Parts: sequence; C-alpha cells; structure tokens
Amino acid sequence: MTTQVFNMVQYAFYHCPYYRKAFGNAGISEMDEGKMCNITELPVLTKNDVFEAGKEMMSSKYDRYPDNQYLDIRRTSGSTGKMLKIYWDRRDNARSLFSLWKARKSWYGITPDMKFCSFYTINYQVNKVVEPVKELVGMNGRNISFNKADLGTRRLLEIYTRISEFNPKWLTLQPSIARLLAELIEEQKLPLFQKLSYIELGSEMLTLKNKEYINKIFGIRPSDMYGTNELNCIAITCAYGNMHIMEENVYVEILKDGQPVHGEEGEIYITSLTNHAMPFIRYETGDTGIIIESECPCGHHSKLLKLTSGRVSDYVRFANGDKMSSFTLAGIMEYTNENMGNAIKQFQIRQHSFDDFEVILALKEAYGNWGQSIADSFLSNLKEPRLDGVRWKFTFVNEIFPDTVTGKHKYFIHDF
Amino acid sequence: MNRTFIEEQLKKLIVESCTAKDLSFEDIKAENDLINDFMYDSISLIQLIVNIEETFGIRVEDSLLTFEVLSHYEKLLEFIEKAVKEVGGINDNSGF
Repeated sequence: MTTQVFNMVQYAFYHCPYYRKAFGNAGISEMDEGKMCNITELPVLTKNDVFEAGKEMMSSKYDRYPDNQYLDIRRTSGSTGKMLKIYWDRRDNARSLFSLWKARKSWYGITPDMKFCSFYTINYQVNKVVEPVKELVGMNGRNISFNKADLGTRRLLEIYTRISEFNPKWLTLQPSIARLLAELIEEQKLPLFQKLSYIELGSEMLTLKNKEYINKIFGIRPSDMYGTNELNCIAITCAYGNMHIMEENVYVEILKDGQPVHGEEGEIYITSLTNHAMPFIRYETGDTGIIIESECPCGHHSKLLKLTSGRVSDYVRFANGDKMSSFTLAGIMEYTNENMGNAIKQFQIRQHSFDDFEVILALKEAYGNWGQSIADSFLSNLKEPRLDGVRWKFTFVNEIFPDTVTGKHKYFIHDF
Repeated sequence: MNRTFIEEQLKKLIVESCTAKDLSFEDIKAENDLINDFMYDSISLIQLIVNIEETFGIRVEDSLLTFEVLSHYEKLLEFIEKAVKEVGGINDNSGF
C-alpha cells in the first residue's frame, strides 16, 4: 500500500464509524504506520453498504464547525437505480478535480476561460435540488448546460441552434446524447459548430461504434472520461486514445473472484485519495476493465485502464421513431425523490410497449405507505408531451435485484 | 526581475482569478492557502496557471506543479521565481 493510500485508509478507520466497524470485522483493530496492512486485507465496499451505512460513512470531523461549513452534497445520477447522497469537502473536491483540469489543459489545450456546453440531470442550487429549467448558464457566461429532459427532435434542434450561436470550444456530454446530436446533424445536413475542437464523453460506457460515429460526424476524436459522482474522475483518454488513471485522485484495483489480478480483466474497485468527508475505500464500481502497465507515447506516466464493460444508457422509444434519453426519467425520479423526503431506495423503469411503462420502486421502510403520493408526484413532474397518454403502472417491491445474466442493475429497460 | 516584481504580478493574477470579489493585494499573505482562504476551486486554480504561464512566459509542467504548491501562496511564489530564473526571466519594462 502506498503512503497516500495508507493515509486515507487510516483516516477512514479513525474518523468514520462504518470503517471502524467494517475493518474491525475483518480483524483489524489498529492502523499504525509501522504495521501497514495490505489493502487486500480490507473489506470491499458496495453501493448497498454505502446506502445502508448512511451517515456512518461520513467522517466525524464534519459533524461540527469549522469543517461542516465546507460540505457539498451531491446525489448519484440514478444510473444504477440506487439513490445515494454523496458528501464532499469543497477543498477536497477542488483537489480531486484539479487533476482532470490539468489533463484537459496539457493534453487538449482546454482551459476554463473557453466556452463549453454540457447537459445536466438535476438542478442544484446551494446543495438543494430545484425545479429543472431548459438551460443553465454558468461560469460567468462561459458555460451553457442543457436539461437532459426532452431530447426529442424539436428540442434537439433548438439545442443545436443554441450551441451554434454560442459557438463553444468544447462539449462535455454523455455518449448517448452526443449520438443523438450527431444523428440530427447528419440527417438534417446541418453545419458543424465552428469553433468546436474538443468533445469529452462521460457518465456512460463509450462503445467503439459510438466513438467512431461521433468522430465521423464531428471530425473530432472524442476523449473518454471515466468517473463517478462518488469519486470524480477515475481516468481519461489522452490524445493517443489511451485511458490514463488519475493517480493523484484514485487508487484502482482489478479483482477477479475477490482476488487482485494484474494484466487480466476483472471488476474495477476504487479507493478515493481525496474525499475525506465521505471516504470510499475499495469501492465496487460495477464496471470491468484491465490495468495495463505500459508506456504511452503521450509521455504521461500513469497506469492505463481499459474499460471492458460499463454503464450503457438506453433510450425511451416512441411510435413515430423518436428517441428520448432515459436520463430524462432518471432525472424526474431524482427530483421526485428529493421532494418526497428521499424515500426511494431503488427504482427501475421498464418500457413494455410504446405506450406502456412500469415503474418499480423499493421504498425505505419508514416510507412504506408513501407509495401513492410518490407515484402521483412522479407523474406530475413529467413534463414531456410525448409521454402524454401513456399508461404508467407502479409496482412496489422490497428490493430490486441486478440482472441475473450481466449482474448489473439497470435503471431503465425496454423489453419489446 | 526581482522578487518584489514577481510578487506584485502574482498577487494581481490571484486577485483576477479569484471568485471572492472583495479580495485585495493586502489580504494576500505568505501563509495563505488559496483554497481555504480565498475560495479557489479547481477551475480558478487552472485559470491561474494559464495566467501565470502567459504573464511570466513560462511553461508549467504537470509533474512539477502539484496541488500543494499551487494552492499555497508562498510555495507558488517560490515555484515561479525558480521557473522564471530557468527560462532567463521576463522583460520587466513596467513604467518605461
């Protein structure tokens, strides 16, 4: 274990009740530098562990002044169907994101004074979720962030026009949305954005097919940024197409059947080196990959990560051939959850036919009788005209299990 | 180019990149941490690097500039002094 990893493990052990207990259960009763344990002796952490542990995951340092004033709260995007509240110390967050900005600057010449466009799911204003608006303008007018809800052809065309007028230097978005935009440009033979020189894709697995298509339409080889809300950036591709691990921010392990493997494909586990408010030690990402220890021509010396599977976003389909990003529904569910006391433990939405949807919800025990109110609230938050008149069925269960074949939990499935 | 000149320029850049609107030259002390004391975030830090590179005519290598150096005023000042010395300094013709 490197000193940096050990420092974080030691910090978690002495400050977070969850880790004190979990490491204790693994037979670890003290954490001294002289007796540095091997990281593989420590238990792994699943999303469910984080969910169950709640505030016990947090460092006790942030219970009180002055550190509690630096806390930022985020929610997971819902892409796993499991709602988690994530805490970051604002100072740690700056440190964590610094490595990503450094990579953008030195590999792609992207700096914060350049205009860019992005897409958002949840509208946060000072740690509170507020009603989504069509677009948010930030960074002193240098960023436009579009709401992922309603990405139908008409709205997409509006977004395209807005981006063209704004003329950004770069875009950061999900591969599924980049694909929708690229398809619109191709189908309607629209001109490309004049100043655009960099596209950063993230939040979903970038398939080779999508990468090539986006490259073909925009004439730009997109970079692939792998990260999560819990950990920020884990890795990003350089101009040579190799994905570099952000070693200042995270420590990456690959496990196969619970055992570490080298140069072999396995499950990706991450230890955050920066998040002190809510440490993540050996955190299961649900993605798979291989660590490659070879030199990259770009000159950056960090280890390389090759993702072999990850989150893929599906589309809601309409009878007229229109597609809508399933992020729209995830965003509405998150907004509903926030307004209903964070009662939702897990959710999954299934589209059985063009006009037949099922929402499966696992509620927290204390909110067992809130089902109808949550369903009503969700339906009232749907502002997508193409969903008018579709049938919604709400099913309540104790737990939603991952797919038996892939072992992954998908929050949106269309099964027709 | 002397330390005083570098310090003046650096303070000017720190005030420019800072999101806290009421920051002045006098507020910046050797022991200051840009993150804790002046509400800097990752974006303002990177912008500061860009501005430092342009003003002092230096290229800041990723591997040399750590978060610890950049976020701490005194360490940052020392880093720039050393870097400027290595490239032969910039032309200080202010006032002439």
